[in-house]
Amino acid sequence: MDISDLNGTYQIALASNIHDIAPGYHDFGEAMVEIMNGQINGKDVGGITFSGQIDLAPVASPDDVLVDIVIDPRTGVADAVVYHYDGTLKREPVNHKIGMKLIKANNSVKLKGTLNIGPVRIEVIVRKVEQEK
Amino acid sequence: MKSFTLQPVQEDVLVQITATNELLEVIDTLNKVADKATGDQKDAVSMVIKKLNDVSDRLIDNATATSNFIRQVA
Repeated sequence: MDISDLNGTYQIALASNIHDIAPGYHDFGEAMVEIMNGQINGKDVGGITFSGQIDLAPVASPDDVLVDIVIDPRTGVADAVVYHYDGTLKREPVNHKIGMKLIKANNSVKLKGTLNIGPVRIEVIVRKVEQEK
Repeated sequence: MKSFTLQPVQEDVLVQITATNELLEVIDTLNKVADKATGDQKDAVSMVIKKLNDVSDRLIDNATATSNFIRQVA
């Protein structure tokens, strides 16, 4: 498999336990990104920017791909913030590295993974919605 | 007048996405079974994979719709 095999448009669905950690805050829950030759670019429904890269994981890894992504809330709605590794919610970019499994079924392509940032757990599903044009 | 909290709905979305991730893990395992199966067994496993994948799509659609509801009322 080549990383360019993943080229296309993807919907990200995510949910976290932020409501337990910081009551009153909620996830935007959905983003759309383009993956092109390993480069990721897109925004969530709150305008927060997702950018980074995706690479094939080493053969010995339990994951299929490794995602290195920057989440930047400065492009989002006025009160958009993201959870940082120091335990604070800030309107500053944060970098995440997450290993994900690739699941193919019929004609669909999905990636699944879990990101843990201290007490915050984020469950992530990435679903291909369109082939590259 | 009473106040209400969205926390149970937020927890519901987290449960839906977590369950879907577990379902995708099952599909991943069944894919490996299908690779080794032959004939009728391969067809049966492939049918199960297709149905589970359809269910996972519906769960994702439902979770994102619920997230949309939370955004609208928050």
